Amino acid sequence: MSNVPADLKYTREHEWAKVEGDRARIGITAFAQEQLGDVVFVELPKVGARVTAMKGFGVVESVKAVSDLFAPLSGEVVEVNGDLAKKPETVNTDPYGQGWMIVVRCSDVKELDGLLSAADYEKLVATAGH
Amino acid sequence: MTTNPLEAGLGWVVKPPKGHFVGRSAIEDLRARGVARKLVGFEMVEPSVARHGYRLLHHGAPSGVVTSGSFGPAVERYIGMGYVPTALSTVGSELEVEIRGKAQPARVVRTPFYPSKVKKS
Repeated sequence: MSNVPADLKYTREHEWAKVEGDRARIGITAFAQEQLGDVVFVELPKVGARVTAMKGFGVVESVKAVSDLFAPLSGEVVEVNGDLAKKPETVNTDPYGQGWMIVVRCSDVKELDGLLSAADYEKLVATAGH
Repeated sequence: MTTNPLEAGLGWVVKPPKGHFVGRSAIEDLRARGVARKLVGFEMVEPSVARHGYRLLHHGAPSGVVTSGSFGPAVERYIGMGYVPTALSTVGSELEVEIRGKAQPARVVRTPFYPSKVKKS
């Protein structure tokens, strides 16, 4: 079964958000990276860019396919994981840790209520799994 | 658009000495005239992934289409194949791949990408 940390919030598109004060660190879930296969390229926004909840903020390419990344929350990008340009495979090896993608300063904390809890996400994955 | 065997690098399959076969005279015409486009291998200059159906450009002008592309772990490069006008099919030719609206530089390389270690007898 996929690893779903309890302290994170999730989207139906398989991104996670870790709330740190008014900021949220964002990445993709263990389930997402398993489904994608080997990640070979990650395209992320620049610091200062604005992202909108449930709109695309970047792209992840695996050996199999290209997938859009959806922002769990709206706000301004304050950090970008530049290491992923050189080592995209980190998304596979450590999706919740070194494989994080961006940090967003949230413009509307109420959006958090629209995200899935770990328990809900686990249910989603259980039904989505093949 | 249909693809003929000479464009695809499959001329060795349809050599005239094979005797009569359907399409032989058409192939001979093509051989005499030369083909307009060729299948080539290319590699991306910067990390980026070309995919089936993406447009190939040359100094911004449409110049063919990607037939396949991915990261090649054995060569540790972002590689692909596609059809380009014959004039751009030589090794070293500069191309761009249109990836999500952006022209990403690429260059034609020799194929196979990964040299065979099998000795030809």
